[in-house]
Amino acid sequence: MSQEPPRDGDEPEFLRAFAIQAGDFAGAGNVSIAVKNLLKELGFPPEVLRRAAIAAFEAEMNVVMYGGGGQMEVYLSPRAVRLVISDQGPGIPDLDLAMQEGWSTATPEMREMGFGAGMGLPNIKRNSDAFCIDTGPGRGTRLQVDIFPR
Amino acid sequence: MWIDPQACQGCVLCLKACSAKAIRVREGVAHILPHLCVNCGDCFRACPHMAVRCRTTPLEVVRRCQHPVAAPSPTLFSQFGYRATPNQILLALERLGFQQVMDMGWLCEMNSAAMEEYLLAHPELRPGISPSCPAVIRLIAGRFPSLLKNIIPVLPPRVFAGKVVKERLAQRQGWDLAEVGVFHIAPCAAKMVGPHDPVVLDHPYVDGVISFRDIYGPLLQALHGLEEDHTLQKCSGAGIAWAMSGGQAAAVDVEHTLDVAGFAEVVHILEMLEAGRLRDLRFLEAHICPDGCLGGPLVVENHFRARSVTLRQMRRFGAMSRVNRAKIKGMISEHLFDWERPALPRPQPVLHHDTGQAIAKMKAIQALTTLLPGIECGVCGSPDCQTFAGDVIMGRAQEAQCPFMEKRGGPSGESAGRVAVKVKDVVEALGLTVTAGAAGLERPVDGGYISDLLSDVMANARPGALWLTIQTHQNVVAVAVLKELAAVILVGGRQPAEETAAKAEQEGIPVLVSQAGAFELAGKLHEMGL
Ligand SMILES: Nc1ncnc2c1ncn2[C@@H]1O[C@H](COP(=O)(O)OP(=O)(O)O)[C@@H](O)[C@H]1O
Ligand SMILES: [Mg+2]
Repeated sequence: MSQEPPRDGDEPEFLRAFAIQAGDFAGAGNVSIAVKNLLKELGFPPEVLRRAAIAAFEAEMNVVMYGGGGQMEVYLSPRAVRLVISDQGPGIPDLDLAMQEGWSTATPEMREMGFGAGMGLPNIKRNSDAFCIDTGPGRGTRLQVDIFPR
Repeated sequence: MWIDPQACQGCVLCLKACSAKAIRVREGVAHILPHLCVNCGDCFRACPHMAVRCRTTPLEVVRRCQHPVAAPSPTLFSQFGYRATPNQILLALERLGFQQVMDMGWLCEMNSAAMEEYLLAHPELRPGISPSCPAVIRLIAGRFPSLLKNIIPVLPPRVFAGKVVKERLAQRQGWDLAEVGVFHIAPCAAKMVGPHDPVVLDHPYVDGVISFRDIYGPLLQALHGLEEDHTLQKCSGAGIAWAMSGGQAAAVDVEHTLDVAGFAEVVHILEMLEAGRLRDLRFLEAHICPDGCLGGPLVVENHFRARSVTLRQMRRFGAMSRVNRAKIKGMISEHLFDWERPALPRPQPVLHHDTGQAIAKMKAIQALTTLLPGIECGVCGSPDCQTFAGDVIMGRAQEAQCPFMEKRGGPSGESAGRVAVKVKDVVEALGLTVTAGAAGLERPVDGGYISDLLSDVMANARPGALWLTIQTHQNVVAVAVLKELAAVILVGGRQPAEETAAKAEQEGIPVLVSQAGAFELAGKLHEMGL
């Protein structure tokens, strides 16, 4: 369900991949922080950093909590930041449901830690300029998010 | 902070201790990069050679001053054991010649009340960050500029003290302002104003920072046989403990406060804040030193014992502040606590102002990083391999400063991605004669070098190179061994001397003979992709 194709001649190129550990709540967020710091060093504007950090964090947490571990790849061009977050977990059976605000399968323990508001995927979508997700039962989940500096 | 080049031994201890990665060792001497340094003092703590110095004000400056005023950090109360009371320590300062000694514990309590009022008046500020640690402010201005707006713009106690002295007390006493000196007595040099400071609050109110270490001896003497004829102490335990980690979080009465101390821990919390987490938090107390100011680099007392002494004093004087809230509100409406200028971001260098080029540089840094050994030894003079790669790509360091790269030889970019050519491949392809050192035929080849001057080869040939020469004497083998060359090729059909062949056999350095001249041979080697 891509909403806007990447612009012509500005295809982001692969820069780096980060591993995300399953169930690692202590280290959770570290990959998003590393990605944000990387973009900062490259001189992307604060507005891009902010949106990328939100998208990266929510996606990272989903991989930690539901995806059974996976990775986040960073692709870049001067006019696009692309994050590809993938896992080989159970996949999302009903994507329309998962995209609804407030819908969550988080366990009581996760909710106790402040997760499971069901806002993750909607927030990722809201903060990105292109959003595409490939998932299904037993297929794992691959989320691709583009952010274009304005 | 500054480094005395005479005393510096060029070791890696400060380099490794610096969490801001602001130190480089170049030509055997450590240097501080001022735009990265936050003045935390970790290098000072780490240096065994006393080469790192803190910029503080010498006591002579106080002696020369007409109207010296002492504004001692309340942590000073923790430095003299259980028996000395805050009042005695303040009196001892008076004995040392300070005309006025401020009870900073009391001013700290006033500051807590002012911060609390500010937070109550600004419910949208989540969290408000205490402005007390100047190193934390520098850190925020450099690495977390989006959080600058969270710093509570209430003058920290030392500056407030200076302002009260210069705007009120001096007038009352009839002092000439030019002759008044307000000296903050501090456990760190972070309060010294530097050229890269995001906000200069201290000027013109604080005139100098005196190190605990410098004043400790004189104070100890002054405490001896001290008569407690009058009382300077107004503060309670809340003021005494104010600069210890947790002191402000306990004193500022709002819901959800957090105190954090130590460079890495502070960075971690600021990262979380910048990522939009910890949303419930109302007040953050952050100290760059472990255990807050009790762990400052210039303290005399062990900081665990200092904490014990502080807790004892807290029990003795009670944690309830007697500061009059109505008076504080009055001072707030008179803008007595207001900052006169905002804190500005301290822009950090980006890889390139053009994002495309910055990305290219980042790729180059990554590529180089993968070739580096990753043992983080610091021998190159940069704190770690990744930072070294950045320094090389940005032109601030040479690849050969890494002992590992030097051994491997030459700019990595060229050798990487090539198919490995061995000496025996060259022999086969060009029909060379192996006259000695056949044991080395499996050696990998990386480029070539043509020269008949031995010292030129010593200086410039790269390890793994084929050496084309007309020299046939045995020193040729010695040079080849020393420079870890792949093989020696004697051109124009020259034969090795007997000793040369023997030595080559012994060392396993192939000595090959080509009928072609050096020029022709080099062309063919090029065609092979070398
Ligand atoms: N990577 C994933 N693998 C499996 N299920 C996922 C994944 N990401 C999200 N989900 C499902 O989608 C739901 C909604 O996700 P999200 O909007 O991030 O809200 P929350 O994480 O608060 O539950 C989750 O509760 C979970 O059931
Ligand atoms: Mg989620």
